Amino acid sequence: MLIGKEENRKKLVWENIKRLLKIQLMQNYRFYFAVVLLQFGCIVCDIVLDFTGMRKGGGLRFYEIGHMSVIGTLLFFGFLCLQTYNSFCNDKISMYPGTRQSRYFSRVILDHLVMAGYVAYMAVLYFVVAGVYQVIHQIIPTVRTEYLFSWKYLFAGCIQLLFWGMMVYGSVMLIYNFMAWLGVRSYILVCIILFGIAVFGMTGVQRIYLPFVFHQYPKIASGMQVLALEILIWAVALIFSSLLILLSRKQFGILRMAPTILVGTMLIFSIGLGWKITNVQVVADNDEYGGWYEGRRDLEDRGYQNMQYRDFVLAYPENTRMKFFENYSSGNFILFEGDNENYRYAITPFVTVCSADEMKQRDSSFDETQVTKDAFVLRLAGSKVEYNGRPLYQKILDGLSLKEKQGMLYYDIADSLYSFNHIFGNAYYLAGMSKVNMTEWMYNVMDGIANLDIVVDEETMQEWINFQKEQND
Amino acid sequence: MEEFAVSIEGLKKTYRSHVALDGITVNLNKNQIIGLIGANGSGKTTLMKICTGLEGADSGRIRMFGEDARTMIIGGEMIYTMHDLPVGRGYGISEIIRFYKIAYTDFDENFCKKLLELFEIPLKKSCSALSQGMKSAVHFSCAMATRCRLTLFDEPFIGMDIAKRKLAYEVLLRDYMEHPRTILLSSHNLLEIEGLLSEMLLIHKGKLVFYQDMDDVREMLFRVDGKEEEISGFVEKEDTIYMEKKEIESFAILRGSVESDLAAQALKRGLTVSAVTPEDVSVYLTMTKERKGTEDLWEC
Repeated sequence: MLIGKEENRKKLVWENIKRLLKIQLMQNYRFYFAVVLLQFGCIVCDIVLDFTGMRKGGGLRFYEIGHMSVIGTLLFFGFLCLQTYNSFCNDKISMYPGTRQSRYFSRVILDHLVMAGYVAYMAVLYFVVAGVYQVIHQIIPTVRTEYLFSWKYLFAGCIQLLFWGMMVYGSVMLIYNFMAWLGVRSYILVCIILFGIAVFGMTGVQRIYLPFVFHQYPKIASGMQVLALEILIWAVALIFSSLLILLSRKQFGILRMAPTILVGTMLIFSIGLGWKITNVQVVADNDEYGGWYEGRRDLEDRGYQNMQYRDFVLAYPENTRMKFFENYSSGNFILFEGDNENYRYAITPFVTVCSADEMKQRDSSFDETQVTKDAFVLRLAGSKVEYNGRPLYQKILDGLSLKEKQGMLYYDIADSLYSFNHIFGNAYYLAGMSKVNMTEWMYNVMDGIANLDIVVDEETMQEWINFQKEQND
Repeated sequence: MEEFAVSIEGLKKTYRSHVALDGITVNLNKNQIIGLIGANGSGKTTLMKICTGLEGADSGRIRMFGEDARTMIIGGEMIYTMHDLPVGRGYGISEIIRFYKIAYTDFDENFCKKLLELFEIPLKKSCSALSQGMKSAVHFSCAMATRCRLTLFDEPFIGMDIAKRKLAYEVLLRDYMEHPRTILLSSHNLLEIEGLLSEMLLIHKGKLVFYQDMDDVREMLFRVDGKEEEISGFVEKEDTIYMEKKEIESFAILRGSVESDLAAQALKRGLTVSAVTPEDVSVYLTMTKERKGTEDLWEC
């Protein structure tokens, strides 16, 4: 009999939670609608801006969808999290049947469902963007679309975005818990202590005084580690909050200043512990890319194993041959043919002049027969970075054509417009790592082509060595 | 079968140093319209909020219809409403009706809409844009339409004009007759709602003063008017609730009905005897015996 009563009660509680969920869903539908519209608007703006840029033509350019949707994501999670201060009393549903517990749990369940719904919506937008760019490709055939869709990126993006949101949500709730539990004065004291630790963190003093606490955090880099950390924070925060609701008799009223205090605290936590609020960008599709210096180091350490390259055979500039070598060995640009004076699309590789034999020793697959008395080989090598499992610089190198004019090298490129779908965040941006910076990469896209080997015949090589000796003397 | 609608046992609630409820124990009868009466800060709202689970008690126990109170609450078998519920900004009345419909399985949407029409409330308007009286009418109408077994009204008529209030009283009484249920109604305007009530619960400073049938309340006290020396010679300390001495005519409030032996004796002594209304009963039973007059306010 008692068991039956208990079961009946459980059923009632669940029914009650479901009803409260439904009411809150209807109460907040304007917000959800606004988020859907906002994100859609952001994506449309991104696409329109890209499309306008693509139509202008020019050199190699990378187009990235998702800059504006990050703003929408931050606004969405920000608003959702700032409302958590109300999850204890839930005044908007307090007039409907329910206990403090059922109101709290209905709210928490709803917020998590909304977060999951948001992530699902972003996934839909990801598909939509890929489709739209296929249409753009029909209008502008030079737009490459193979980098637009990746199941791996989509999966990683969804997981990371969801758990990042859950972590922030849980953290804000935990902070509010402290405030409600300890009282505002004690809470401010805790904040001051945390702020002190955060300042330590920012100034680097932590490495001396608190190495056991802070030693590890700069190493938090892999997606899995960040994910584990997010889940841990979320779980602790939610368990703590739920226990407080279940066990405490204390009433949690709305603290008017709560949102401001929460935002302030979150910033302190974020800055102090080195976790950027924009951690939504923690999605790594390929963490091998190291940019220009990394590329060179790779070449020195491992030869062409970790590089993508292409050999161009050009006729020697007869009269200016030595001058040409001198120009490029001291560092010179490979200019884009249609570039204006600001050299925006110039390639700035590290140049070495070597003989065909030397090159053969470095790379046994090198075809030395290409090097003749009248022709030399230019080996352009780029980073082995992959996107969507496809080598990125190999495509660029394949589409590249080189020519020499008055001692200067010029390049042209086919299918020069590369589109990336980053609505879950920048794929190359890793948490806690500063060496990979997509923004920088975006403006210097050709920096990935880090090496230029000028491979000449033995006779020209000897001539070049002699020319250098003369110059030094 | 459970005899009582609400059984409250040793209910205590403190807000820091202020004692809101001080060990109230009472059993409220089923299917009655009970007036919850008390001065400001006497603990009426706290009692109702604890009943509905909006507040937690420090100690004590509440059972409703023989069940744990929470079961009633989550089952949507009780409703608490007041003049200014936190419905949230920007919601239209039709939206609020929809929320009620989800929350209460027996909610009579049609009846609710008819009531709102009666109170001349436009359905398309946002609730936050309404006047206080209109808001009260909306909450009252919605609560009536839930037809919950236990309905708690906390000052539901605030801001309503007299015509609307009369209409509300009529609706309350008629719907109660159609669908008998337990209604706990708190109001400061006891004179107006007296006719609705079948029972009255008076609390003062967090303590129960009495819980009585209205007929008993009407016969609880009587008033004798006369000259000071006549009254002083007649009344005995233990029977006197209150006494006001004035130069020309004084009066005393005594325990018992106008038909009691004591009242008959007063009549014999030439004193004027009259009944004390329930409103005055609540006043006299919650004030100090020798109340300081207001005359001091104008003395230099």
